[in-house]
Amino acid sequence: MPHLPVIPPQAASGLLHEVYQRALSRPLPPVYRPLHGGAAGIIVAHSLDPQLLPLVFGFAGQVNGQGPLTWPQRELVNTVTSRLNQCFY
Amino acid sequence: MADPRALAERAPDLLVRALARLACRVTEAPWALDAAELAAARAAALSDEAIVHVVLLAALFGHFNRMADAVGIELDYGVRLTPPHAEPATPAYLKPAPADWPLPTAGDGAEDSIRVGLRAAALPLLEPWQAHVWGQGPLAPHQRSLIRRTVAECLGDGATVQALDVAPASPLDAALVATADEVARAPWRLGAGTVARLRSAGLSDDVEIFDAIATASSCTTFSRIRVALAALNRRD
Repeated sequence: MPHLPVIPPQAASGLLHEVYQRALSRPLPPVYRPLHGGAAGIIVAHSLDPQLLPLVFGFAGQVNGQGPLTWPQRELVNTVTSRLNQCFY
Repeated sequence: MADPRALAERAPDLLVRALARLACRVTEAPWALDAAELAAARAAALSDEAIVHVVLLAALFGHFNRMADAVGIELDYGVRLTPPHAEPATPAYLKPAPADWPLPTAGDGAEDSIRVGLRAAALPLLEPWQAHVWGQGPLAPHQRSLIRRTVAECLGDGATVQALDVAPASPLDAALVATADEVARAPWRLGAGTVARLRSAGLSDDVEIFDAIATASSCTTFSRIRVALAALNRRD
């Protein structure tokens, strides 16, 4: 149960619905696709500010989607960061 | 990955060690980066562009970590091992003394400094995110400034601290400062208690509570990048 309300894609309307449609239509490596087939939780976590969501993930797509670091190297950096911050998501 | 610091100190592969070391430093104490760290990263065959990439990734994932835990989202993927729980008793990240805040440099591309103008494709995408967080939202302007300033102090972002002459003037302001400090320095403590504290202080609207947390978290990304790159450019 989240500590704050979240609005998943199936419950979204207006701007949030449009933002989700764009986010979910972007190509995604298969290993990143959630088992439930919907938007990743970290995207849904931003749903209370539909204007913020595409800004964060626009930056993220640029930084986490290409080099110069290779994919394994990016995953290493991301995992080190998350482990230090004790974020197990 | 049980112990990222062990990876940073003892990984047999020099490049893995360098990547882990940089990520640790950017995450725990970006103000402590210096010319020696830059030289060590370059000696491990990391280009300046790769070094900046590490900074941007660690700062971005720092935001993701904070948002995931503050909002309380569940895992999206199957896991074979049971993930460990966060330990709230873990001491907070250190806060730098003002004397340790790195000064922003011109980034003029001198031979011994990292060229911050690299990653040109990514940095312009940071600006709209920053403009939104700094300028808009349900919280009042002075509340956003309080959050920004608190996070900047936690990370040694002197330019932002000096630009924001604001102090808490109410119990709600004090709660926002406490929340911003927790977001910046102890993300493993974020959760239901964070939300409850803001509700008790007077924020009853979930969108306002989200705004406070997301503003603080976003500002950790902005200040972390600024401080890390300024520290790597330091010439003392």
